[in-house]
Formats: sequence, structure tokens, C-alpha cells
Amino acid sequence: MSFYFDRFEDRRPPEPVPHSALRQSVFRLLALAAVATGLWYLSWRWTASLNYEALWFALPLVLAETCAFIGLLLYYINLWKVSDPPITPPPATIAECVPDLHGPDRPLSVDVFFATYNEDPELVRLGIRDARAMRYPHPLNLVIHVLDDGRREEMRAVAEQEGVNYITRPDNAGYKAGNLRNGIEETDGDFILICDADTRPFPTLLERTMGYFRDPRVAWVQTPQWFFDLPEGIGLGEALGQALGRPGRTIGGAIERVFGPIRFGEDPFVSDPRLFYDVLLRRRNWANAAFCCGAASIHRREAVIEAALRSYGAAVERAMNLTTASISRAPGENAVSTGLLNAIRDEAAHAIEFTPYKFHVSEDIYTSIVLHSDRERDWRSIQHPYVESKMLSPQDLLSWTVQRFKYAGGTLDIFFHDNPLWRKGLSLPQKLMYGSTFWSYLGAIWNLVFLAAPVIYLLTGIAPVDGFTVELFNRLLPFLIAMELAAMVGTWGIPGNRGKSSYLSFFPINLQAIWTVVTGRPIAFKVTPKQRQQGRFYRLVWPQIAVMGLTLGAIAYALSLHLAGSDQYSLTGLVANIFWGFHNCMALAGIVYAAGWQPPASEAKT
Amino acid sequence: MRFRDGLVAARGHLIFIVVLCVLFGALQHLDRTQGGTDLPEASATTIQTR
Repeated sequence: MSFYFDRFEDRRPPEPVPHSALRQSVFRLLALAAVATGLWYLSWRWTASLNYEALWFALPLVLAETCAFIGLLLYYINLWKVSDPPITPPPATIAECVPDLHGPDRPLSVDVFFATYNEDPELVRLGIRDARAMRYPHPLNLVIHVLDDGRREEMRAVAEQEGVNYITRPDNAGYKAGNLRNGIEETDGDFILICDADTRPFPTLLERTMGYFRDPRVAWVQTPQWFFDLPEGIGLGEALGQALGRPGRTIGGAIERVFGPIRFGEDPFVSDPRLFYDVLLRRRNWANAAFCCGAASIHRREAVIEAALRSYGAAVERAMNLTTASISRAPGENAVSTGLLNAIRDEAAHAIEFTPYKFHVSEDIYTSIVLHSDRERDWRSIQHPYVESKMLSPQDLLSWTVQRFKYAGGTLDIFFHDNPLWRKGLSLPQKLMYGSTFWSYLGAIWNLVFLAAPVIYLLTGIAPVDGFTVELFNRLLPFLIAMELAAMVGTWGIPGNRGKSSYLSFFPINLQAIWTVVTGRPIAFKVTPKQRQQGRFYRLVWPQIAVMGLTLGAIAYALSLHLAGSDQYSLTGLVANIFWGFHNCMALAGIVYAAGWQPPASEAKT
Repeated sequence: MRFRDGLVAARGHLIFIVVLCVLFGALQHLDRTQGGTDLPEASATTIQTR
């Protein structure tokens, strides 16, 4: 059977960006400069720049700028320190991972879970074969399990043909978290490697990560996810060659030699997760705040079970307290009798389900928070810098939207309903790191203001500031430049500007997620499709198209008024807002392009 | 990783910085030569009075 990604099988993952003390120091200086100039700018914005005749416009904008600045502070805290834990040799026996081992010493046992629902069984077969090829320098009891929530005979047949265990269950309670829980109940390995249906482990995965578990506090190790099927687009030379023939190819090639590769149509959905894994999560190691992202992570079973027990105990206690508080007592009765308390506890213990993986759409981050907040055990997490597996990226906008909505909705649900900022046990750096993640999803609210502001000005002539003056430019420019330089050095080696643009263009998905969570509706989503969905998906990006249309219309309207001699706008205000509007349109254009993106004919098979 | 690879990855940031500098230089020039206003630039009331 052939897949569209067969031609990418030989691709190799990028190496992690090497640490440089000098670069880190330069980043810190630039970050401090950005914070200082940002405070200087924002303090002036609040005290001396508001247009008091249009506070309905001025206040939301300055509030949006302040919220974005808070996000920037959290981002800098995240990037402040690089501290990769040392990679140690893989342990030979369980006693090297569990110091107070009860019972005889023995080789490690690792369960590999392939969680699947409706993906092509042949795709899972590839992952099973790669998992079997994982190396380990010592005897290892490696057992591969297919956790099939689809209850499919074809999947069972593939598992049997490959000689691996097939596990299913009568229902789909808890979705993937429930599927994993069922797998945990049916198995007993010391460690669990979690794979999605499309995860393809590299031979080095275990030998390079199991050494971390020599530290008995290490609960899980997350390895970077790498999408090996990202569309590569075409180079400038090739594109110009197609349009202009040989001269075009020569000119394009020369430009690329000077400025480096320039590609069109590359990674249209901005799925490359390097910025997330190699920069954000990796730099949370110092704070012990790198959270689990599911696929390609290895877990210590003891930690998963113990965290679940603690969570379960806390839930039973909460239920008990609620019930006892509602009991009416007779006059003179000071406390609920012990017998009644025991009965209430028994009832709560029966009513509450014990879940090794929290039944939540974002079970990975939820479980991470539970483990990180366990001060008694002081569980550690590791973000391993090297890619140790490959997987498939969303290949169409529908799959991409489902995935993003799931991430946003699940994370925001935790923020609103079980906010770790108020959870006992997390350290301040951990709270800041989780806070940074939550804050970034709330960013859709202020991004909407940034998208609307130039449109409002250009359509009405009403300014949110007390004049587009030299003072405004003199205060804003140093801040913007310092911020851009800090981002450049902080993410050195990884193109970050496309991520910044796509962050702005996510606003409809994130707003929908915020609305869904705030109104208490279920975060309904389908399993992220692993097969390419056919068609164009412009209906999914109508808000972005509408904002682009409004912005371009407003620019045309304001320019025509200005050319007709209207004095509704100052020239500086007009120029600044036209630039701002174009900047917004360019940021949104990427996702609109992605909605209509079709794979090259040579790749257009599933 | 070679320095050049880092520089290639940083292209977007560098281009944006250059554009910002040009834009803000032009805006400052315009503000000085065209006599940028100190008044609230264009509020609902000032539109009517202009």
C-alpha cells in the first residue's frame, strides 16, 4: 500500500539548536531593553496619549496593548534560561530507576501504546514495525499494544499479523484519555511510551531517553514531535524558471545564493512545531514546567498511577466536604458523626471514577499539571531536545482547524475551570510557565482589537491616540525594534516570523474556543483526521477574509477621501494606519492561502 | 549550526526591522514637514468641526 508521504521517508529531522551562552546573554539584554522601552511607551500611552474624546476606542486599544505586553513578559520569562538535563546512559535494570525497589531486580519493561480510533490500520502497521526496531543496549521487556477505540476487525488483524497485543473496550468513554486508561489497566510495564496512530518511533528513542529515569523523580520525558511530511514548496529559482524560463531560474538562483533559500508554498499551515518544542518547551526544563504533549512521550507508570490516586483522593474529599456542609444538624450536635462520615466517604468513592488519565480534551497538559503540583513526590518532567520519532502533519485546513480548536478549547477549559495558578503545589516559575500558555490563547481577544483599530480609524477618522505625532513614533519605534531583535536572538536558528503572523490569524478559532468554554458548552471535536481531506476550505476562514476585505476597503476609502481633499485624516495617521492595515492583511493572507492549498499532483494520493 | 543558517532564519525579523525604520523615518519627516497636529487627531466632534 502506498501513502502520499512515501516520498518523504528519507527525510531526516533537524538537529536541536545548540546552546550558546553568548547568544543567551544577548537575548537577555535585548529582552530587558524591550521591557524597559515597553514600560516607557505604555506608561506614556496610559498617562499622556489617550484620545479622551473617543475613549470607547482609546481604552480598548491601550488595554489590548497592555495585555499583549503582559504576554511578552511571560514569553521572555519562558525564554530566559536554557538548561538541558544531561543525557545519561540507559539503565540496565529497574533498580537503577527505582532506588527503594521491593522484590528482585530485573530488566526494564516498557509498554508501547498506539492509540487509534479510525485511522488506516496500514498506517498503524508502519508505526508498529518502527517500534519493534527500537534499540536498547540491555535486555528489555518491550510489549507493543494497539489500543483501538474503533473496535475494527482490520485493526485487530494487523495487530495479529505483526504479533502485537490488541486491546479494545466496549465504549469510547473519555475519548483518547479513556483509551489510554484502558490500556494502563490492561498492562503492567514499568514505563509507557505513548504513540498516536501516525507516530513512527526512531530506533534511538528508548536508548537516548530512558537514562533520564535514573532520577527517580522523573515522571515523564517528552520528545519533540516532528512532521516529516510538511510540503516543501518550490524555490524562488524554480518558480521564476517556470514563469520566465532560463533567465528567471538564473536570477532566482542568484538571489537564493545571496539571501538563502526562498520557498513558496512551504508548510502552508505553519505546522512546523520547532518553535514550540525546541524553544518554548525546552526552555521550561529549568523551571520543571515542560508539559506533556501526548505522542512521543515516555511515562513512569508509578507516577501516572500515583498522580491519579492523589487526584482521586482530593476529589473524594471535595465531595465529602460538600455533602457534610449541606447536612442539617440537630441542636447541640457539633459535628457529623463518624459513622455518617464514613458512609459519605464510601458513597463518594463509589461515585467518583478513578482515572489514570484525566478525562479531558487536553488530557496531556491536565495530567502534567496534576504531576507538577505534587510537592510531596516532586515529580520532574523532561523535554528531550532531540527528535526521536516522526509523524504526520494536518494536510488540509479542516484537520488543522480541528486540531487547533482542540488545543485551544482544552487549554482554556483548564484555565477557566481548574486554573493551575490557584492550585497548591505548583512553584511560581511553574505557574508563570503555565500562565504563559493560557495567556497566549486569550490573545485572540486583544488581537481582535489590533485587527479592528486601523479599520476603525480609516473608516471614521477617529483616532485612538491623541495625535499620530513624533512623540508616539519616538516611543513606539525603540520598543518595536527591541522586541523584534529579542525575538530574533531568542529564537535564533528557527524562523519565527511566520509563527507570529499565524498567531494573529488564529483569532476566530481561539475566540470560538473562549466562547465555548465561557458559556459552558462541551468542546466538541472530531479526532484529527490523519488522511488528507479533499477540497478547498474557504468557509473555515470567512472571518479572516472578512477582516482582510474590510481592511482593504477601508484603505481604499480613506485614500480616496484624502485624494479628494478631505482633511479627515492627518497624513501621518493615514500612512501609519495604512501600513498597519497592510501588515494585518499579510498576516491573515497565509491562512487564506492555506484554505485553498492543494498538494502538488505528485503528492495527491492518500 | 552555522551563523549563516541563523541569519537566514532571522530574515523575516531583519526585514521587518528595516521596514519599521523606513516607515517611522518617513512618518517623522511627514510630521515635521506637514505640521502634524497636536490636537486630538480626529474624534467624532473634531470631524464635524473640521
